[in-house]
Amino acid sequence: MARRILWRLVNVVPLLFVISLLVFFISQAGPADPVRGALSQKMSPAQIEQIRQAYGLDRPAWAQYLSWLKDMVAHGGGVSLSLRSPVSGIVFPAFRNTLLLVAGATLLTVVLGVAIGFVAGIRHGRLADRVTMLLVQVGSNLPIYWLGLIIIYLTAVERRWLPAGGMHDLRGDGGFGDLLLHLVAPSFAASLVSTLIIARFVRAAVIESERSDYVRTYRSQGFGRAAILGKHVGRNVLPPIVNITGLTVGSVITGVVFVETIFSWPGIGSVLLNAIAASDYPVIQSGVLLVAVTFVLVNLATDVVLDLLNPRLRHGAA
Amino acid sequence: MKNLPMPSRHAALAWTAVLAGSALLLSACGGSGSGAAAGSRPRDGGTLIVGQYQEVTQFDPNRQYSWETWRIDRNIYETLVDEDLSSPTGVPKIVPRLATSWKVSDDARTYTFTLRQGVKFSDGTPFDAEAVRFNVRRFTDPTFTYYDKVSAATMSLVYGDLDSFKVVDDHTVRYTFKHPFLDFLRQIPNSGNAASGIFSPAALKKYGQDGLADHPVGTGPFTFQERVRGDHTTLVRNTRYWGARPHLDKVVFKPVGDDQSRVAALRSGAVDLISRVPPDSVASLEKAGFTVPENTNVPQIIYYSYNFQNPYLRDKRVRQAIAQAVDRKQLAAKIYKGYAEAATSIINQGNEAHDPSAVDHPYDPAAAKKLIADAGYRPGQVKFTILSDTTGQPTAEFIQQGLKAVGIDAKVESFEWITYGTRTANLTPSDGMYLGEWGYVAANWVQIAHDHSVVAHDGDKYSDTSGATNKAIEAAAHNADPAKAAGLWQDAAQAWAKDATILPLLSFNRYYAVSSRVGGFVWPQQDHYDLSRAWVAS
Repeated sequence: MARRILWRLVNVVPLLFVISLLVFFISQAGPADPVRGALSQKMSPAQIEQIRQAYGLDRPAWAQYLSWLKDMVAHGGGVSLSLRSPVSGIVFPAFRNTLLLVAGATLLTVVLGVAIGFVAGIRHGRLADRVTMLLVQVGSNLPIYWLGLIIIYLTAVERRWLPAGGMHDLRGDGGFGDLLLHLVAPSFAASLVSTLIIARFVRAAVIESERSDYVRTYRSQGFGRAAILGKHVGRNVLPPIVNITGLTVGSVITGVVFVETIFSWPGIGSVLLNAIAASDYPVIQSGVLLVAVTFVLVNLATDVVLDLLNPRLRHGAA
Repeated sequence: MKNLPMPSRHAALAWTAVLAGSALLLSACGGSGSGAAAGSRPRDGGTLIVGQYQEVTQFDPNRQYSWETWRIDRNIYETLVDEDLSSPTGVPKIVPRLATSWKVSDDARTYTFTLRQGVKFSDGTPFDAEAVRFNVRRFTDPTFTYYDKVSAATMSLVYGDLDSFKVVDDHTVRYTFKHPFLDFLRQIPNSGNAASGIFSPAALKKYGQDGLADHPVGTGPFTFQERVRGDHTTLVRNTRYWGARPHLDKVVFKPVGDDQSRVAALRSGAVDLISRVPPDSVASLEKAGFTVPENTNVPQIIYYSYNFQNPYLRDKRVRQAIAQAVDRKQLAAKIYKGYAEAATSIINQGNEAHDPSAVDHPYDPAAAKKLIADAGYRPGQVKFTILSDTTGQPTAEFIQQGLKAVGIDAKVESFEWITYGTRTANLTPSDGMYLGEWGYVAANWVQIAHDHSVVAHDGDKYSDTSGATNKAIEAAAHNADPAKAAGLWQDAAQAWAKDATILPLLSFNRYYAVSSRVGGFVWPQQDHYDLSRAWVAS
């Protein structure tokens, strides 16, 4: 078991190296020029050349890659081209905010998704199932951008229940309660699509388990439905839930870019959008690398949890 | 982004109807309360929150660019002279700031400033002639220890022709230019790029060239407290400010990039003031009790530049036909719902040299058709792409329709603003026209615009420009007689209009929306505003 997990860890290293190469050279290959970005267009070719030299952008690509990698390892990135400030100070705090939103969204996804799926699954074919599945069908077709604006309009403009965006009340002193209040609406918007995906999976898994032979056997022996559901069906649908949750964290991170824009959440999404606008390579590269590494780590964690949940592995059979 | 299913239009419409219905029900249950209104008497204290439409750049006056950045920076850094921004109309008067008086030589080449005494930067460093010298050498003197190439490149827009800088005594400095430069005073407090705000030399030495932006230190009415990127920047009142006490204790600037979210933030009370109000929201904001001031003299202008790599657009007749084919009055009335003014000269409505009667090319589709025929092209033969950002797409389509009517086959491509800049920095020969937005109060804007959209893009080399334009611009730029300035710049703009190498379109007349909590906010004839006289209700 320990060897298996160790082996998974070792495999991550070459993967990260390949990702770093891809991230660097793909962003360099684009037509964008950091000095001729959207905001600094108002310069003559001579001014642009002068700035390019000042930033070391006239060096060959491999030399830029090596110094970038060195900066990444040494202090989490070099210096932003458009902000002239260390990349780590721009990317890390923003990514922490994104993780907070992803955590909120994932929590909602799992709790709501499993609850909806279970209810629909055990009431399979009845009214509760049909109504829930109709809502799921409609809900998964709502565009995040539009939904976000409707949520803001209803909960912040028409009624002052929730803040209109941001992470803190800029007039107040902040605090954890304030943060949670700000987290509700964007988490909900970011979680919706994944919640509904999980709900469908859980519903299908519950229905399938309930039809399976072992459940029929238990039932024939007089076990109560609640006991069967909690102890046996629940356990059997757990691995697919973990698996899908791992996958949805990925889609939540990508979906979060839009949610951050609408809810003015100061996360990696807005940092990346601004960096792309300014063709600010060091920020783009570090930001994308961070997201990619998170993907890899979440996948790793999912695999490890699945291993732990697998009784055959747990008892040393494999 | 792969997991974002897009709905059919019908589904979206149905849901809008359902949710709008429930919104109406909710609102019927009671109105949303808005905060207290600011009285007519100024109040000291309180916090103003500003919702900006873009994330700002750097709080380094010599390296910053973008109007939103200067709207923050100008509270921290002050300039030798300033503009009186207390009136909503009229070209702002040049007024003393860090200089108490100044003398301009008869040939308009030498400017001598007497500096204000007893002023200190917020870090305690005294403001004097040596501090000004340090600032100027940073972007003009390559032998200086603290010379900065990036600042030099940016600041050359204003200081490119500086011949010498002298410290006359502790409180007197003298700038001498190679040519007469009448617009120098007007350019000093100007915004966007090349801002002349004076920073503390001690701060630059302490934090370094890159560090000043994160630790900005000036003499202004507010001092920098913190910047949380993507979230907010906080300024607090400078308690040792040499001038009148600003009413506000604190100002927070928050970027809210999405138009609808920004409007929602204002309506919910999260912010007190927003910039760049979408035309669609003007009426609903006014109905909800917000002020959306009108100003028909703002130095901002939206225009299209030409790509001279496109073979058709090298012909003057084609470009003139384009200008005649676009009905700019209708554009302002229909697409912008009247919240914009048509621009028929590159000298924008808020410019010192503005002349409302100047019309480059009147709307005349018949004449445009004839010009295309004279140039030897059949209807539909002239083809190119119009590049725009997504917010400008309706405008681009309006132009497309106008061009179609005179036999020009234009395609519209629009991009999110994040990719638009990159796309226009990499033009291909099939690209024809691309959107721009800029503008100054200073009359030499004509020269700046011409350098930027024609000279820098080899317009003179590849297209049939007359050469008269460059001559006329130089005559105006090197003129030393203030009485003649406006006329000379008008001549330059008219010469340029004959070349038709730029297409002025319109200027906004609505831009800010203000909550009733805010008092004393004035939208002057400038691209920024003065917050030192604004206040908020308790």
